[in-house]
Amino acid sequence: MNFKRCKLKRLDGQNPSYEKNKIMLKINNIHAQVGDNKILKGLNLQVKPGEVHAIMGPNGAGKSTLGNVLAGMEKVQVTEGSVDFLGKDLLELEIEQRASEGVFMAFQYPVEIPGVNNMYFLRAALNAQRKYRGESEMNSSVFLKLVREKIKMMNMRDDLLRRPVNEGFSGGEKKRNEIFQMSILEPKLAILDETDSGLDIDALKIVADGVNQLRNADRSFIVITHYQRLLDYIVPDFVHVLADGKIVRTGDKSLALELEETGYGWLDK
Amino acid sequence: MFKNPIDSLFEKLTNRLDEPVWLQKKRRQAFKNFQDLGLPTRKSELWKYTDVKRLERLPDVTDVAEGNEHFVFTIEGGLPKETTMSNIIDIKEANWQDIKTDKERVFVELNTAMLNSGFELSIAKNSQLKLHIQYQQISAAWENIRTVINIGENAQLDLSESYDYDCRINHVAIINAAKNSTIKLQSNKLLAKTEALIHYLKINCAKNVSVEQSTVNNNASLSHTIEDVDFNGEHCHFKAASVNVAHDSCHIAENIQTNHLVGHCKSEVIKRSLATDKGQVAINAKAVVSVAADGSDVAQSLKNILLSDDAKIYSRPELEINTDDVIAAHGSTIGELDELSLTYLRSRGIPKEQAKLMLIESFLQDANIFKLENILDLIEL
Ligand SMILES: Nc1ncnc2c1ncn2[C@@H]1O[C@H](COP(=O)(O)OP(=O)(O)O)[C@@H](O)[C@H]1O
Ligand SMILES: [Mg+2]
Repeated sequence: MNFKRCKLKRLDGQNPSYEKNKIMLKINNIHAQVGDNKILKGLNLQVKPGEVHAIMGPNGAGKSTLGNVLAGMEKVQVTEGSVDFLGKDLLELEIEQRASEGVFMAFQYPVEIPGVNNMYFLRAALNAQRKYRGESEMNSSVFLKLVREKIKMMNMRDDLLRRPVNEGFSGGEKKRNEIFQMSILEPKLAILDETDSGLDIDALKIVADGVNQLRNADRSFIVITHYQRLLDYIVPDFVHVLADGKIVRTGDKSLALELEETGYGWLDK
Repeated sequence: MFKNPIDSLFEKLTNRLDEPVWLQKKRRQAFKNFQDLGLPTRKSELWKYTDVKRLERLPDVTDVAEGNEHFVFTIEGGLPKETTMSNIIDIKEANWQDIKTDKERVFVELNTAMLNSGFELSIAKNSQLKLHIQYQQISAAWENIRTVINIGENAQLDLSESYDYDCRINHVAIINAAKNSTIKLQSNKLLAKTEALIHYLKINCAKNVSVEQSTVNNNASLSHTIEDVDFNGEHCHFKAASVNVAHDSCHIAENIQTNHLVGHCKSEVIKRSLATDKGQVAINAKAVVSVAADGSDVAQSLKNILLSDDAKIYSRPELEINTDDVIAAHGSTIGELDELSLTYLRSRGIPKEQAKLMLIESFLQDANIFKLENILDLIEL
């Protein structure tokens, strides 16, 4: 199923005109809680194909919770609102169905899975998604070629592939492994949850490179970050401030710079 | 065998067989011992979690088994020269090995009393033998099988054994390994949920013996194993791994005791068990290191996963160490499948059931010492 990748170079902040009016993700008045702790309180967000949205905000604002709502993590309970993803009611779908529909979440804290080999896991994941979409399984030699190409791109040591998933990986290696998985699975919507935290500048550039190479007119990103730094490398179309479970401000990339200067103190006023 | 008067079955057996007087005497003595010891109770350590009444609840057995054709053998490459095999009933009295019994091992006495099938196999020194044995259930009666394998010096045995799915077997097995011999043993106990297997295994190791043993236990109304391993000579390497899976109301009990009678031997026991529905698994691993057994190396790793609320697992590692110069490691865990891992796998598109299997396969990995590719096919999940 090697579709020709759309190589269109986009002008910053502008969508190719043919996708202009289509909305990929429509989050409408989401209220969500973990246990009795109400975290999201009426959040709205729309993402069009090809757009990069940065979500910033203080610790504990609910940024990861937003990602968890989209990815389908069972510990989060949605009590109100809806999420439409490419015409489907996302909240109705199981975690694995959402992944196969093209939602990918790069976790803030990737899980270590002792005993499950990274390559085996990734191939199982890719083939499960292909099966879901009615495509044939990818045989191991084609898969191997794909993996070799991407691992090089991520500047990761190949021996990480032969190790159990994330086991004994450094913090930075875990984050890179998330982006590596994303590059193999080629999602339509990728949510990066603080992928930049704990990375030194070289690792940050590698991660940003990996993301930028995947940017195209059909693929969208929600980039959750605490620091403006990442947004120098992954230039967003929109920057949103999430505070107290809602988006309280939206702007372009200059908002990120402003936040860097002012911090979040103004939220308390 | 348990609801019916055992005595009358026993009488029938001793009156019927035309066998040497010494064996008839052994039978009578064993039967008396069995009656004196009585059935194990919950007070017996190796039956603490195993209800012997399970045997009574099995469909009734009213007859004693006959004949000696209760195995199917495949011997790869034929029997090596000077390797002999004889019917257990035909062995010389001098070759009969008495097994020390107690209330825990009382079924060994019953096995001797009711013995109806078996063999003694002596493998010539320096030879190699690859053998597959299928223990067959021919009649509706309990099979009481005794097998003795003598491995000559420097010989290598690669044995795989399996039991009929419909199995009502009391099996006493003795393996005598002469110095420098090597044993690879794969036992598949893949049984019907209504059936039973009572297995006693004794392994006697001379100097420098190497044993690798892998067992897969799947189901059975009652599958109870007691394994006693003696290191009589130094520099033995013993490794026993098992995978145990109990569904429905099945009960699997595995008890192993390694006796470091002399020093510088290594014993490693790895058990990985899963119980689901109302399934039960009881694991007992004990290592006894004698006063003089310096330089012993003992490891026990017992890991268990409960897949349902009603399942039960008992897991007990035990070390009895009577000397200072020992390396010992043991651990036992009982848990559930890791939710975070499961969610992570699913978040990449892997369906829940497949994700569970992947985690189970990885959980079993350490016990799959012969790297069986079909391990997930052998067990029911
Ligand atoms: N699993 C959880 N159990 C209990 N509270 C949680 C859990 N996850 C998040 N929270 C709480 O929800 C709030 C928002 O958390 P989170 O979405 O992780 O914030 P952010 O990612 O913006 O730092 C915090 O107050 C946090 O303590
Ligand atoms: Mg967070």
